[in-house]
Amino acid sequence: MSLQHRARPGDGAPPTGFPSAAVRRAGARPAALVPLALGGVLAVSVVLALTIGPADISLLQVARSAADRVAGTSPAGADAAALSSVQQAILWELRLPRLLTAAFVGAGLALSGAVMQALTRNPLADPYLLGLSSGASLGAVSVLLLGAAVVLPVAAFAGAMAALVLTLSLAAAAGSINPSRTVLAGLAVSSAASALTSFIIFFSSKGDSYREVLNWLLGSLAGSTWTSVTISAAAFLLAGIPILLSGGLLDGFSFGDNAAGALGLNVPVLRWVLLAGTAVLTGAMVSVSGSIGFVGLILPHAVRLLTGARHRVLLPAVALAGAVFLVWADTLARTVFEPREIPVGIVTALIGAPVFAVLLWRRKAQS
Amino acid sequence: MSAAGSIAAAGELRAHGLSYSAGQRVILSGIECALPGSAVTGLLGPNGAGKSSLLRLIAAVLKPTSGQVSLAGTDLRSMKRKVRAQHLAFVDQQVDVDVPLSVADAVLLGRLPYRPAYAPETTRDELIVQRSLAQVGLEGFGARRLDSLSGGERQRVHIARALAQETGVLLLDEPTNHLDLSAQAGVLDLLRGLALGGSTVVAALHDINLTAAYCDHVIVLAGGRVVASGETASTLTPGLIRSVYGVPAVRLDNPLTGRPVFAFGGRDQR
Amino acid sequence: MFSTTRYLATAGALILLAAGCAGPSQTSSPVEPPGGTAAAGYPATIDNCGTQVTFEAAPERVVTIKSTATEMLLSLGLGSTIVGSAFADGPLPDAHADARIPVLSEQLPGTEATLALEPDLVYGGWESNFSAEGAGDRASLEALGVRTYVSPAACKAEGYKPDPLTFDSIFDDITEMGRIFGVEARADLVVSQEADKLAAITPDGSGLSALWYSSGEKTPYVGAGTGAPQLLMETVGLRNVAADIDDSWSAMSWEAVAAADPDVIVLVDAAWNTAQQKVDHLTANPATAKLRAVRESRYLTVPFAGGEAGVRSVDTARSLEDQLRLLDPLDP
Repeated sequence: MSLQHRARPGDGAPPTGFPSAAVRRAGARPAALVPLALGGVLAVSVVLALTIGPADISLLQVARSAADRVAGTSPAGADAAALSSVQQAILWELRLPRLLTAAFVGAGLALSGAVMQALTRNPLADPYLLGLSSGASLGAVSVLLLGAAVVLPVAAFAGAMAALVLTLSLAAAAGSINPSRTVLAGLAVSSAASALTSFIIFFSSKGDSYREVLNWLLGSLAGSTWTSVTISAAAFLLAGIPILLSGGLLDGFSFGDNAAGALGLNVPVLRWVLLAGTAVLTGAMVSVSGSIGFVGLILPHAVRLLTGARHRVLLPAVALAGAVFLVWADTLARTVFEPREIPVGIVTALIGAPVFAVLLWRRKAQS
Repeated sequence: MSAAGSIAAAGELRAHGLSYSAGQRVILSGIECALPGSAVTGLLGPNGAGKSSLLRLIAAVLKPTSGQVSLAGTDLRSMKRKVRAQHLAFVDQQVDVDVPLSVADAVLLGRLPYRPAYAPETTRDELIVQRSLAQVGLEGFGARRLDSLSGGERQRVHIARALAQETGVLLLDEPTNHLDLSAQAGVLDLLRGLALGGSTVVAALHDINLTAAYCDHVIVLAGGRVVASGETASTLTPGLIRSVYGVPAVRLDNPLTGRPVFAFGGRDQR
Repeated sequence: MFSTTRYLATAGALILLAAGCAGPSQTSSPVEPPGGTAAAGYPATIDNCGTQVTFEAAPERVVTIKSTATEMLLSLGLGSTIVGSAFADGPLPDAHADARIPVLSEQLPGTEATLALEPDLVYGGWESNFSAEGAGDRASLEALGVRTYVSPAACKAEGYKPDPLTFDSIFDDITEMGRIFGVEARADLVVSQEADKLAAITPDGSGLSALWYSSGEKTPYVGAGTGAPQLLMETVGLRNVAADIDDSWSAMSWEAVAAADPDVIVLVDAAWNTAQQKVDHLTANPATAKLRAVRESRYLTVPFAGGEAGVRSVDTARSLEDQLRLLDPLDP
């Protein structure tokens, strides 16, 4: 082993003898392109999905109507491509807010999943695992059925946060917080929250009012409005963007808390801040869409195959892929059985479960 | 960063009255020791003696119940985390990593203490990654996935990460665990090379003969206390081994290296 | 198609078929007291949603679940047989306003609470009322000597479910109930009165389309192609925008509703989800606010219990007819 090249600490000059081509780490550049490519896919997806639905509206009509809205002109009545006022409402008050909500919710859930998998170093972690989704659902169902005087997103966030605190306290009560204890505590909290939710539904639903709750528990983007867009977008800007920027720090957790601490990271504070961020994200997303499963679990695994595990690249890619995934899953949910529609949570579960099986199988085959 | 260099040269890493308890259980008490620079120090002791805890206390990832660890007279815990991470690197016991991280990305983590939280890595960071990989003999492995490497290669990657931290002190917990004979020798040769270059290297080990063969100094722990410390040749004696491990031992000279080697009898033999 | 004579012929034939013995009197006769001429028709075996139920005698202690069951017995003059009613969808119609019915529970009662009343018949409006967590499953109740009966319009099994629901089948249900309690003559009278009222309904001829909005804000739950909503709308001349969905009720997307842009919206009014709440939601949502029926406030209202097939169905249709007549004509 040659040691003569070892620079002394404090030796400011980079070592010589490395041609710049060797410096470019193989594989790093293509991975960095993945978020860019996914961004393009997302933009195209939203435009395409805008033209798909029970009501017949062509791409041309969408473009015309968009141009009219941007220009502030009212569509010329004689124009064959012009949309009626109801068609315009379908496009701009039903489809677009729903698509954008799907994109933000997908991005938020996938991002939460990736962060939780990193922080707990558990590949099965997702917003469900630590009880966040169940907690958020409990908060929201309490509002829906018991008429608690809090607005839905606040209740859902409070539920998610309470579940998180409970999970981590439970894990800490059993000793130091470690990944497997956290997961077990999450399971316990999740079960308790689900049971309470069922209890509330069972005892307070009247006539057919349980249907709305059921839709909601299965996860549905039906009925998304511009308010849903505002809530999900605000949560994403508030919590999602800072998390996206923390990719480099999350990487420090790759080899355990001790290694992370030795790299100069404030492990407990970072963990709490990031987990609280995911609670904000999950709570907000659950409040607009109900608890949609598998997005937070599957997307990080699938995207890692493309980008590798570096969070600086993985996190933006996961957020974008989550958005694309949910936009299309919801397009399926609202069109496959038209004029009926099914909760999108059923679609994500139907796609997610087999995909997860394939991912597990691939991992097994690799190792 | 010149400070790091002088600290490494001075090698003044010391534990003062260090104690640590987990709940009611006392793990370590009253540890006094000096960890010299330009040398490999082995931490020896039976399971549960507190080797890992001591190493983590020195790395300042555990908070002592009392006492302190100082580097060049400065309490480590009074330093900013990042500054501390520019002085001390720590390689934990091997954890199973099944995240598809590339070798270069894993080593790049060693540059975290030198960057603002949200800044991307620089070309200089990438150069240091290359240099660190070369130092551990893994040139050209940068693009490989960590989980495609052998145990010995993976341990070298972790050491390269510590090297990328450009610290004067390198702490390792059981770096030869689960490695085959040649990989063990490879890792320990590497550590010796680093010590020759001026680093303070501290490794918790459980193999007495590996310790005897590769460590300049040794600290022997039993029941959470230091029972012996000093130069390896004079500190590691059959009597000490017997009292600490309850196993009779004979000291021989290794005809290949000239270093001491121990042969052990059964636990109940007299 | 709803002529009285044709109906009576069908009903009579059905009774003969079901009984397999000398049929009961088919002529209308004055109201008889419950059980008055019972003994002759028993034991009576009835195929109810695929479950064979045999009555040895007219039931005397009945638990009714849901409004349709309670109202059916009340209109047959059998109110005194009800030992407990449960899970009412809303208040009783005016005709029965002074009926004194003991209430077992506001919601679906449990098995033990149901059995505690020692009923000889549990009569449910929905099949799902007979779950283990509810009044008890049908086989277990039968094993305990308690007969069970589900409003046939609520049957879910293939061959039993309404396909689609007709007034003939609703009238058959009344006749069947008359047979179970041995009050055939009273049942026939009720049927002929309802059939007469039905025949008097004049469907609206202007070809209006309509949405039956039952519940749900995010996804509307609407009256679909085969159940009571479809039958009622058809009867008053409304074209159901969800007629193509092969179900009694169904979820439908707001987009599909908007694309159909119905002329009229029928709102189901329930205490837990009032018609006004639905109007508020329709007006507040920018997409549904653009619907013609919403812009022009062209709403009809139906109490929740009226939306379920039963002895009240003709009255519900008449109410829809009246409300429809009061609406302003469509804006050009």
